[in-house]
Amino acid sequence: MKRRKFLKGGVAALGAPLAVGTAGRLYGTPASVQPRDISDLDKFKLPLSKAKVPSELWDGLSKVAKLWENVLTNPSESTAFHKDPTGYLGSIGLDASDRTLATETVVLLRAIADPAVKTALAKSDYVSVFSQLIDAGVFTSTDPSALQSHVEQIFRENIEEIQMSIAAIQPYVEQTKQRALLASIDSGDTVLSDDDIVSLSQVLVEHIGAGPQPMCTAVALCVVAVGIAATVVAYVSVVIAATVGILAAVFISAAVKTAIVVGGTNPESNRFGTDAGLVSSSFTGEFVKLDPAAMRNAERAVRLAVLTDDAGLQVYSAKQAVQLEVHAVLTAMRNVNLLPVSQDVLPNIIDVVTRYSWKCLGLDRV
Amino acid sequence: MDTLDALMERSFPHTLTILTTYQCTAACRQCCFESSPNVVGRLSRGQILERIHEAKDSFPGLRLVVFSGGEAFLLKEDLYVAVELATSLGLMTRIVTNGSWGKSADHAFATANRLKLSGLTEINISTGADHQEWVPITSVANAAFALTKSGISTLITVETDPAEANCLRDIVNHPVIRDALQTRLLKIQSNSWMPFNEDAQQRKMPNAHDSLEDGCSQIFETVVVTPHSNLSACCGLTLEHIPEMRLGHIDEASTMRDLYRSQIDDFLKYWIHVDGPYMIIKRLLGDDANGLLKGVVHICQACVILHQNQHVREALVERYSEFVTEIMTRFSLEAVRKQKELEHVPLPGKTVTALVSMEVEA
Repeated sequence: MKRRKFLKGGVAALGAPLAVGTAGRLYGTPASVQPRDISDLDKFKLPLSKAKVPSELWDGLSKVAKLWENVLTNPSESTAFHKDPTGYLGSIGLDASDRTLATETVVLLRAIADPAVKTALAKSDYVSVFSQLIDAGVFTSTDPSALQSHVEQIFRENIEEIQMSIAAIQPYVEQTKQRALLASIDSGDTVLSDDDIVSLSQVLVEHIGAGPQPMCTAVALCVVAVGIAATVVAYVSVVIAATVGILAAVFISAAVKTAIVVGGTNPESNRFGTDAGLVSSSFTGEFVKLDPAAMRNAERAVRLAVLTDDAGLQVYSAKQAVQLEVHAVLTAMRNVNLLPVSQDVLPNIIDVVTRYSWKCLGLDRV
Repeated sequence: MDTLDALMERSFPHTLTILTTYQCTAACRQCCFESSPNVVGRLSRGQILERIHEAKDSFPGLRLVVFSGGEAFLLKEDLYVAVELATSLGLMTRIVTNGSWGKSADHAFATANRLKLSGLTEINISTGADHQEWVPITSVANAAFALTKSGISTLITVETDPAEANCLRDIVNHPVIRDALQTRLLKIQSNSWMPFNEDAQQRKMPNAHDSLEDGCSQIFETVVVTPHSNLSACCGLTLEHIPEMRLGHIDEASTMRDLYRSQIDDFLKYWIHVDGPYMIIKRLLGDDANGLLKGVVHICQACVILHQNQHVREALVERYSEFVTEIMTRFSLEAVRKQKELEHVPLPGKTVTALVSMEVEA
């Protein structure tokens, strides 16, 4: 009613000055509704050309791009920068205050300049790289239980709706896709035994009812496991959006300024299709947003990968994020009886879902 | 200054935002542009296409074209043509809309199909308590459902709720939106909100305070064409309240490139980019800033204070020289890093798996 009233008035007033905002404007009338010409001379500016800038600053700024190249490629420059970034920056006329040393750029350059990190990178020993960068304070040591308890809290607060979502799933999967999934999982480094898979799947079959009984094979049941996880994760992603917004635990748009992208093509990513009740991957690292420390690590890992042109570092970081997420979500599911499996079986479920997610994301190919 | 010229040339801007019109199908109480059906005027099809071509030719780092308003869908066919052009030039595209075109499911699907054919990369739908006085949640849900089913990445941005409203939870629990979420192409977020009039309602909570103290990446990274054919230095909520953000009128004598580069000598722009307006005021005024910044919930709110408050302006003029070396060093170091990172951002047509997709604020 209110809208209609407005529009009726609007037709009569077409082209007239704007009627909204009759209450006192806090910041004046915007030029969008009251265009005005403003001379460039009347604009408030702080001219660099009139600032008292030391001449060596301009020389220093001209060397910034080269500084990157030098630190990344020249061993002696790299060592000098790593040992004494303050002295290094000062020697080329740049600021070396604490604020500058704390910039992401200097932190990352110094990390890369560390000879021990360089050696580990050369060997693609990412476990060592991460360990050293944690010691250096570039990465934060994360506690997997922190993310798990956060997710678990969300489950508990929304348990009825989640259970309804699970009850509604249709886990039927075509046989050809079952085989494809089995091949996908079996080609991993760790192959679950049939007993493992069956023990896992029996519980899952019991949990979701009679739906998958006609295809009660180890493969099909494995698919069911992933299917349940997909459903729960899809639901929980929604809940997280609300929880995050309401509690302001993490401000997503601010936290996600950096692209965390696994480059390259992945023709396998959609091979199972969404018609089978599976999506390309349920676990993509979204939940890591709920753990600010893990999120910061992931962002920095991407940046380091870009700087070093080492895709392996990025992939390793992404795999870690997915693993952290799968562990947190599935453990939380078990703790609230959404996944009624014994503690003995849970690691196998986590393992298979983690590897499946890596494959969907193409992370197992690099 | 040549050094800065070269750095800017390599690094910025990444995003062209075209505010196609200030006219809107809604008239939200706290709209930053005071948009409504009453506001007349828009960029013509020719102007929009010309700006896209010009920006592509002028800015080598350009990756994304954002179409916003007002309500961009009031452009009708011209909007699709503009998206097609940007796509054909190898640029990613985004439309920002209130979703009013989703009134019926059929119309929503027809629109989404047209957008898909035009090559649109992603769409942002704005909603919330103020928006829903004009655009019902069903329109937003229909639009989101049709878009995601058509394979278009969609973000629903919900205003921070006032005390008596639960728009965010209503959106999240809407059955059609639940279905759309199953496609995994839909994201929902609660966005920061700021008041523009004295009668503004209190909102439930400010967003994370830390983000207020961040630098403003809009400056330099984004270049904005307004419906009045002006070039703006940012696409923030208060851009039309801050004359200094307007770089000039685009015409034969003043190209986009010339106008964009006219800000290269303005240290305040670098400082805003590096420290953000909130932190600048804090650094300049120390404890005296507390009163001025009390109740500030949005970085653009701090920016309008920075530009309008006489006390702050005097402090800026008096003391800015002492910050130049530090700020310019930090700016240069970060600009080179961002340039390297940008080279790794995927372009349309490349298959990638995104753990966290890039979300450029518009």
